[in-house]
Amino acid sequence: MNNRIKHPIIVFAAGIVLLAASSIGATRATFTYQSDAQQVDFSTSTLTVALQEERDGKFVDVAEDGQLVFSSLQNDDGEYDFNIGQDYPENVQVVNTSPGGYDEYVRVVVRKSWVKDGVKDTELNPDAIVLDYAAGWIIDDETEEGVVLYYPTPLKAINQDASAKVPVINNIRIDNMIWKYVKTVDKEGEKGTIINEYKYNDEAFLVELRVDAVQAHNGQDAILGAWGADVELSGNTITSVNGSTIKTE
Amino acid sequence: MKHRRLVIIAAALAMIGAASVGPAMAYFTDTHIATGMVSVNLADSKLTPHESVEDMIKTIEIENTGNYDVYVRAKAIFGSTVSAEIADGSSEKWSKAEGDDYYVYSEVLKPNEKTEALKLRIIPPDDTTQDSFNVVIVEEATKALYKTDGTYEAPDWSLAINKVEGE
Repeated sequence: MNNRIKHPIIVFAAGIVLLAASSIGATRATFTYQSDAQQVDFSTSTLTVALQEERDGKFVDVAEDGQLVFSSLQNDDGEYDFNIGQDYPENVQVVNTSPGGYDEYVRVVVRKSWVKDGVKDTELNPDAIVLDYAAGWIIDDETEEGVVLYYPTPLKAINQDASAKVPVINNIRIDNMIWKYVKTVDKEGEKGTIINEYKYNDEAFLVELRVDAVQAHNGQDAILGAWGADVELSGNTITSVNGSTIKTE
Repeated sequence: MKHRRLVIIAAALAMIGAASVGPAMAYFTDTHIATGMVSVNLADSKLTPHESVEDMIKTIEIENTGNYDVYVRAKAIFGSTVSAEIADGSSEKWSKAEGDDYYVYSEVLKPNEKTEALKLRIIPPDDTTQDSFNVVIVEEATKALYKTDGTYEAPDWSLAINKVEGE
């Protein structure tokens, strides 16, 4: 039996007609009349999160300019003037700002480094940039350069519950260890004068915070799908991250 | 031929399946990044000595002309036939350190501050044939490091950063 189609052009044409018909249907749908009573609005729920830094006694959403100011390191003239070794308040919090009132899991990725002339200086130790993390976060993937903090329970939306806000950082300090990296050199142009040259002088410390939020519904899969983190849950509480031993501060 | 057709159909179904899996894997998420960068300036401190001698009493004051809070100390260097002791009128903030020849100022000196006077009575040699002798004052400072609570660490003189000599 010969199954060959004698006129393949007819089949091709039929396909074109079908395609055209389907698109016309979609176009026509826009002209379909609906009374007010029949109209149903579908909107995609919005899930949002905010990172807020305390500046002069008020929490400010840093998403607008993406800047951390470290206002407690500034003097009254707004210039940075602080003591090495001393803790300064640096209050940063995460807020579930979802207008739809949805719960969400949150995590904060912290990265620290030293920068000179806009270029990361990998010779200097990011451990000298000390951030005090708030209690209650699960600490994962901690290195000298940073850490990933997971909040174990979903944050309620801000219009639902006080637990919409959770502090993540309390203090910042540049450790006294940076004084120890010093060498004595001859002062340029002044023969016989010896001065100390500090390795961390004129370096800038850089702190980067990234907050991630994901839906609490179907949380385990959502966290895996969105963040690539394999978490174990007990109820709605994260008990482990990526199977590693975790510690809570 | 039959197998080939089946394979093509299976591949087509897999493609359709993959296309439908995409939306099912989408989760509601949000993310924000914030960065902050602050420069650190570290430099030497600077001392300016103020000294005078009157009636074999050497008066020493030290001024912090640098940008950092410092601890200061001083000692007098002289020959074996000469000696020195704290004289009347010297500030009680100066005291002789145990185990070495330094006189230590008890308070931290902030920028532009000056110590109260250290008065040292120089006791000349008994040998009257010697008509002159030298006394050299060595002044040292070490940065006043901060504890996390904002109070000062005890001075670490191994990190002494400045020496100024006066005669």
